[in-house]
Amino acid sequence: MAESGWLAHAWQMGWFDFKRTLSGMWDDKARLAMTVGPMVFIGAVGLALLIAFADELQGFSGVALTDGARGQVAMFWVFGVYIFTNRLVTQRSRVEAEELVLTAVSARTAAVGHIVAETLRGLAYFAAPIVVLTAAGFIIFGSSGVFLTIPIAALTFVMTTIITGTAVGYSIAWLLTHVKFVRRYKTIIGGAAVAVVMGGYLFAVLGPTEGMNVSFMSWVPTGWVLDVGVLGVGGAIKGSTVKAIGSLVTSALIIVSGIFATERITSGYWFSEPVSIDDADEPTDHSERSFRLSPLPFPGFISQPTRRVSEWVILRSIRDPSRLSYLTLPAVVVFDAGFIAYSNGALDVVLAPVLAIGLPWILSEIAAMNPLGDEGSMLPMMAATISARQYVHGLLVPGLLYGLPIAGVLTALAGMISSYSPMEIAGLVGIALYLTLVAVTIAPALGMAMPRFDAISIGRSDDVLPPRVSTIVIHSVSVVVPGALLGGLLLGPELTRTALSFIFGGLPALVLGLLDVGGVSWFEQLMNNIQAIDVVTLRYGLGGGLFAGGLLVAGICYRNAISRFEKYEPQ
Amino acid sequence: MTAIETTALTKRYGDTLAVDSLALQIPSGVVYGFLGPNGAGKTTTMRMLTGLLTPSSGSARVGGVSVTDRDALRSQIGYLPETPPLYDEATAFEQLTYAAGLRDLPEGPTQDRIETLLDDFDLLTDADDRIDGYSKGMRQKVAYIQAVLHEPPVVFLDEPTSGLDPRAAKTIRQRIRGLADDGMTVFLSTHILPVVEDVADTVGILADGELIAEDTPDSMTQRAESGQKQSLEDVFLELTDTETAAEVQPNG
Repeated sequence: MAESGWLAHAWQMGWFDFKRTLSGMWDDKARLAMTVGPMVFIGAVGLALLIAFADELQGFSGVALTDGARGQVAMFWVFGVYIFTNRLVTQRSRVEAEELVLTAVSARTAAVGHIVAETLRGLAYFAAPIVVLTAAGFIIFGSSGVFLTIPIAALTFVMTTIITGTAVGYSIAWLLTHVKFVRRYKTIIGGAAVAVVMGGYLFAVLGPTEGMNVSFMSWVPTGWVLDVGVLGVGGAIKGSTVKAIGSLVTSALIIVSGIFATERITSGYWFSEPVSIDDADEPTDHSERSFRLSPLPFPGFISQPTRRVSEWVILRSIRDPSRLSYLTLPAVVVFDAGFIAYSNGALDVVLAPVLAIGLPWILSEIAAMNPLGDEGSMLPMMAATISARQYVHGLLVPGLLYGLPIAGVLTALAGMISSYSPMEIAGLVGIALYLTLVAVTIAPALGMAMPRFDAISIGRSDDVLPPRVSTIVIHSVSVVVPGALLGGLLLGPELTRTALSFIFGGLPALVLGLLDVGGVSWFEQLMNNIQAIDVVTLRYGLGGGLFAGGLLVAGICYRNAISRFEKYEPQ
Repeated sequence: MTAIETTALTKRYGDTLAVDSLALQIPSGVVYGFLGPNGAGKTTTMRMLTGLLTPSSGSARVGGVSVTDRDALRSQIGYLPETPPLYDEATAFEQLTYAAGLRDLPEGPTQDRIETLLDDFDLLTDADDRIDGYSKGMRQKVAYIQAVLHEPPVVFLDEPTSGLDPRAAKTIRQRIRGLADDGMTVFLSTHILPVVEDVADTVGILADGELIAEDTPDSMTQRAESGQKQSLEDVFLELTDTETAAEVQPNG
């Protein structure tokens, strides 16, 4: 039962939470840039195109909304629900400052407060594109109705996505804590569920099956927000008024029923104890207990402190895989890309290069992308207990000891089913080994340079969180871009040369030409110069430079990680 | 032999002076009760003495080792911070085995010692349960064992009896006294003054980053001019209340 005035309390909670997010992001400019930057960029590009083609766009009319467009929006809605479900399950299933909140307000207030905060965050995230879209509607169609219909469409889209994701997320969180089987095998079940959902999603969007396109999703009412949005353009784009009304009614139903469902689920989830999965027949002799702490064997020459750190890195990932949940989506994307390549009969061409680049990336992301944050309350004790060198070695050992052979062997096996020559396969294996070495070695330094501790200083200050998005992006770019270049130089040097000449010369020349500013000829010359480079020179010059540069960076990062841990001081 | 020695130890955060020219001389084998109101600089001092914070100026040696030499300092100290440093995903036994491994203790004898200590604190039957299911007191006990497991010459304890029931708190007090009797130096920071009265050989009181009093508990509680015995709590409140202190000071 909710207290009187629960809606006002929920709004206060949500607004307060949202302001804390803004304040936290303002204090962390890198996170701000990584989070908001892409959306602002999209908005700015949209605005630039709008200004550039304003004359041509005015008077645009006579287009009708298609089922394909509605299906696309519905699919995007499903993707949004997945993202918010995942976010809730991995990061936000418990209330922050739980003891305060749950003794002060009802579960409904707390749940709606969460929804309000997430909605405000969602709207703030999409603010730039929404504003540009609304402005575009007004400029192109000259109808002030868009100032009402486009924001309403955006608001209902964001709210229904978040409320559905919240209800599904709390249901999953309840299952994970209250059903013994699910709790025990949550890693396997979670991985399989994500693979099925995201694999199915990507297959539906990108899959080659004949007749499969997103218009089959056009019956889903959440895709009809397009009809709401175009209501305000004065008939220039023909939508369905019935579907617009249907969208609003459905949205209202989702919001009301979602809040009701969330209240019921959270009442069961927040106010009950999770089931225990401790074994009834606990081991009692030392060897059995030690075995549990040592999930993988390590050679004897590795010192005990280093070995303990390595063991714990692996064990922690097994026992609390939620910290690695951010890896699931890219892993599924790679898996699905492989599946699509298989469907198109191109797996033999794609698989080995993808593994040579993708495996080093994923193997290096597992151990040390947020080492200081992962220690939680243990961090001061670690700093006072173990030497920096031993600690950093402990972070590196799993990736080097197990990652190198895994990356090498799997790439070699993929090469054997491909049409590549033995020299090319050997080259791909070399790239996989080299990238693994570099990727594993640079990860601790990046993770320590941008540690992510719990941003919430009240209530649950020792929680362990996944790494910062900025850390993941920088690490991924540092691994994937050189890897792709090396792979390109090995397998298709001419194509790589063309791509480089376009990226560094052709594309800037095109953009500068569109904007009608100077410097076009300089970039065109650069494009020609790159195209004129001899393939052998490019292959060995750029390839050798990447190899040497990567090793140099890895060495610097290794020393930097040791230095950072040595100099670590609690805040 | 001096276990802890500081000379003009100072820590600044920008314009804020957290610890001001602290001078300590603590011999081996004693329990040093370190008291002070919230924000007095106790935790900052402990972090400097454990090598976790670099002093702004001054120097400090623990077990004869400079606190700026972290590598050498590690073997000299054990540290129980206010928040028990534990991994929720581990069991107590795994946590302690892990901590012992980090210090490179020999595995066989250490396993026996862990079991003995767990048994002493009534934790043996729960030792294979994950720490995320432990009560606050159970966590505190595991963290205490972790701090003293390797028998360091100097151990720093920040609120070691926090959250413990009376029986467990008594066990910890007895253990602290036992550590000192065995030659270990215990640097004990707590707000529970009866604990200090019970186990400390010397008491130091910190206020606004300065050491304002240091003596044995008996001397501190004995008012010289009247011969009237006060509790340590009365003395603490009197010394750390700036208005009272200002009133008392001129009259001696």
